[in-house]
Amino acid sequence: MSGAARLDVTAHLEALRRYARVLTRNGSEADDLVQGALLRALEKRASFRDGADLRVWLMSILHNHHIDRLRSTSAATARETAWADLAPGFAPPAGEHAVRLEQLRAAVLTLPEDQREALHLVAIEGLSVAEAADVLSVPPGTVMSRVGRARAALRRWEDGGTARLSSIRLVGGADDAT
Amino acid sequence: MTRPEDGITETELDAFLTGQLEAGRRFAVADHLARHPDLAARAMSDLRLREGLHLVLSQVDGPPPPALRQAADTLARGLVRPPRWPLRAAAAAALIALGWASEALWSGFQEMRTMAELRPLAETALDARDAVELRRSLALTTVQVDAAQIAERLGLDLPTLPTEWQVRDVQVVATPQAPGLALVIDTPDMGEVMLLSFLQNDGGRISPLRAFDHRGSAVAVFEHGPTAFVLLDASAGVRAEVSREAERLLSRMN
Repeated sequence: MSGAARLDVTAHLEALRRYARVLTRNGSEADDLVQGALLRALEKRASFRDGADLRVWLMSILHNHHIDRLRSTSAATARETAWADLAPGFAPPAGEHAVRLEQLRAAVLTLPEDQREALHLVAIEGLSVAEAADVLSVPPGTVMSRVGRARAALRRWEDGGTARLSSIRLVGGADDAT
Repeated sequence: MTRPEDGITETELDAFLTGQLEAGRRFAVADHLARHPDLAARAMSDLRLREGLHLVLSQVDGPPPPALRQAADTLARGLVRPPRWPLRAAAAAALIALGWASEALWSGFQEMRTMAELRPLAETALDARDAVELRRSLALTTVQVDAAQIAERLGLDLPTLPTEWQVRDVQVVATPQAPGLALVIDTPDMGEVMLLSFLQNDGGRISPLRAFDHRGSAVAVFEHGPTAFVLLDASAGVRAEVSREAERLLSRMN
């Protein structure tokens, strides 16, 4: 029998939609982004190596497609500042901590883009640092430092309640003091 | 990021919390946390953050739009991994070489080139039949499946089968181009036959309908749009009969 095997793209659809939401912070725009990335992946399918990790390959294409779209639209900057008015496209938190969790999500989505990308890939999608580095096209050390900065910023946010993150974006090793 | 006085780094602590630190250093970090309550409390705070992140970023707000699912299916079809070609290609080449002389008796040189393209399709159908037979021989439970539903998922356009044809078995099988659908069918005229259908990636070059003998089976190959069909009668089938029935199927395409 021949060994042709279909790769399960659908199994990674949710992960792509999640990451697209972290990138765009808007549900419908995120799904458009995923749609475009899937088309681009089809065009670039020859670049997919047998044995490669399909999820990392798809995430990487999604990421690059997002960057290209940002470059091609002049509205990007305006959207960056106005995102809070939009629907991020995640299920609303439930339970007694719903309000706080909603604030946590807003805090994450307020992080600088490079930090929230790295944090999401490693903390939510469970990618290794090396895999995240592949997706983001940066050295592994850069991924680790971005994740570290994101964590430190969120730690500060937790310490300071709902204080805006924009004032504490640049944080370093000294932030680990409690 | 380094805290030399502590002997561990911020990066290591992050790697520890995300389970990405190697075992030796994991112990070192855990040991260090056990002796530094302030850092341990911060680590727990990070874990809380981690759990919170999972709660707020893991679930999107609804199922994917149909267009997204369709795009994922289309990509999956385009990403079919190549089959183990060296063996199959060698086998096909040998068969073509052996069958060349007899083939030439009933087809002209112009058509021989086409036969070189057709024979791998017949091989694929024989593989599919082997796959179905293997599953049957293992007596695996056949799940009740809806052939039309599978065909739709695979993007295949199936003909409406004659009412007197009884589908006995349905199986998704591998083909060199894309996942195919094998239907084992009981027919009044030919007995048990197999109809294999799959999407062609190469635009299809097997039109019009062709029938030929291949390794003791009568085979008809035809296409409708991007879907290719191979009708196979493995029980010493008669080529003309398979050809006629394939014509009949082709005329019943939706």
